[in-house]
Amino acid sequence: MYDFLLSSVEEHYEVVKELKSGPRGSVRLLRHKETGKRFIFRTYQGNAEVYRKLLEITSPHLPEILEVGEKDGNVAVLEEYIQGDTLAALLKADVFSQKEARRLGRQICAGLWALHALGAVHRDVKPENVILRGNQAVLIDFDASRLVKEQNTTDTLVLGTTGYAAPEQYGIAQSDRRTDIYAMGILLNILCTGRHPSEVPAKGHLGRVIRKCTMMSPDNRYQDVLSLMEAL
Amino acid sequence: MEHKCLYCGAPLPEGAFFCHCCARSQGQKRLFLPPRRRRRIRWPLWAAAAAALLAIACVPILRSQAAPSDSLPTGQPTALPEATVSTAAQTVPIPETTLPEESLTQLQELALNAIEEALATPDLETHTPQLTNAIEYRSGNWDGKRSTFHGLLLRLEGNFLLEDEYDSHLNVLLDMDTGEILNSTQLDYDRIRAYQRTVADREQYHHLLLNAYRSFLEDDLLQIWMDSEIRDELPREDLDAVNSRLALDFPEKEAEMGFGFPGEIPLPVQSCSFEEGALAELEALPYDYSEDALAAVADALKIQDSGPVRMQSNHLENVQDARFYIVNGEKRGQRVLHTNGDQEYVLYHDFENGVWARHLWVYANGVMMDDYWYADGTRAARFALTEDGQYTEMLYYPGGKQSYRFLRDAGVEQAEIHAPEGSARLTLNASGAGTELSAYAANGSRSRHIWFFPDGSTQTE
Repeated sequence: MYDFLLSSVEEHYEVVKELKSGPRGSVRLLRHKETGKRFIFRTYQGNAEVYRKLLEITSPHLPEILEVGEKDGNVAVLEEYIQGDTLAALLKADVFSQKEARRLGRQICAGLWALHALGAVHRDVKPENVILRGNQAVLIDFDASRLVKEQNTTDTLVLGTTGYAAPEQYGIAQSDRRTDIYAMGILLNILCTGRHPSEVPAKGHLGRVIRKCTMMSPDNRYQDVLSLMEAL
Repeated sequence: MEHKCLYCGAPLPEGAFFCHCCARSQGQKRLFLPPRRRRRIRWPLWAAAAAALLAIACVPILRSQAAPSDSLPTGQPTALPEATVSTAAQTVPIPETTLPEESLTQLQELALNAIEEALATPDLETHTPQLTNAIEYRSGNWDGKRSTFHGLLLRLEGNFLLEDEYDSHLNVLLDMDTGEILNSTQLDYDRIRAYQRTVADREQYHHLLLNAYRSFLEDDLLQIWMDSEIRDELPREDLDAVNSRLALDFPEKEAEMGFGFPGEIPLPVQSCSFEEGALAELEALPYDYSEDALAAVADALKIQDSGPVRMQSNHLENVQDARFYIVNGEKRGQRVLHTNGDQEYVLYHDFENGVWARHLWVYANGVMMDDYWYADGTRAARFALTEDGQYTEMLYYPGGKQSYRFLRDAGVEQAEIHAPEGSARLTLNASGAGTELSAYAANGSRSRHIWFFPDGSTQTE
């Protein structure tokens, strides 16, 4: 499938733009030659297990994964192109109101719920990985995602983004769904204050929700995204 | 077996999900949407409904219990203000949504019954807190922006009430350089690294520990404790030394006294009701906020949120929380929280000034809350009523002074208190978002905001 996907991409698509390139892989914006539709083509070295799971589902708050190929540790993914601005880009203009942050938070949680229901954790929830399509938040980039393995005690690879990564992502324990809850707390705080909660904590009810999300011990956080959605 | 695209017929390898010729997905995908949970009914709404039902159900019971006991007041129910109240400052019309006389009688009876039950409770178990662990933290200048942090995390076992929830542990984080007690929002605890270190000045160290013991803060530092990568515990002999000091600081007689009402303290319930004449006397006084009023209110506030304070608590059937406040090593006051059905009562007693305060929260018959303060045999009271978004507050202050404030439109209104040393302003916001109580001092030395949120939680700044 990996070879078929690469050859198909070369045959049927043209590269519009290289969005991201790094030692682990690249992300390119493609245009389908026949239909003009745009897609994201992602290649990286790692595990495709989460993308494979996502092949079978759709969610309004996740990009549709269209095809996945894997060979010798190299992964190629074709996915839906989400048109819109990232929250990071929008935050450059202004922060969101608490009401708006809560609404976006609930939508991102809905995307996370789909991931978690598949047994996966995102592990890299941050404004750069959320695109606002109209008024819908879509969570993207599952490169750091993994399936939760109950028997593991610690993560074998430290992935995530400094400032958003939960303490367990630094090797103290294995990341799980509550890792994403932590990052959601950081994200929500940044949405409404523009700053990390350690610098400018949000006030009021949302502030308390964020504080619970960012408890250092996963046991003290919301235990699932549904609880967080309800709190929001 | 050869696979073909469902739409264009192009050949596809086995297991393909997407046709690149026509750019269409093969087959249906499951739509994943989170289940809809029924949203919780917000607490005030539920409480209002429950309290209303309770009040209706309680009327015949209360009437049957109306005969006063020997220990309870026999004063007449409160007479409500006239249709308008003329004061030196202004004439304020009183809304029609005044508290029905019968309702106030009921409330007083409920309060007295609850207090009586609290008094009749058996001896309460006491726990001397024990310092069980102490960890010293030191963080580097990890991002080039923050200053280094040198802290001491303490863990105490006991019986603590933290944000209205009981906990058997209390964690306190001290800034070792300043002695300041920190909370988790004041530092980026993700980056804390712990290093073993010998404390050179043990006296200073013990002093810090005792200060921490006398203080409390919300238990949001537990996570640091739970997730410490390195736990460099300080020597057992240090902990023992501190615990011996704690035992000295917690007298036996205090333990015997329990956390109900010590018998020698005059009970406030003897002046719980308002005689008609007394109220008329108050009403005849000019519109003024006296120094006494400032002191009474300030004391009532201070005793709720003074620092450093020491807190003790216990469980009983109706007494949800009873504690002594100790300020600078002195037993300064007492607070008892108890409930009766859906009604919640908080009693404060300022030992030093003899001030009592009672807070009764009832969501029935249009009564939102009902606060009394008592000082030296005189009374201060606040009734707050709300109906149809209207909000009315009446304030009576001790020392022969009184003040009224009628708040309307469910918006932010203010009651001002002026005194030679400054002024204070109370602001109550009875909007649907919750209630806000703010206290300011004119000289800027003190400022306090307390929010009472619809879910029953509070936040103080």
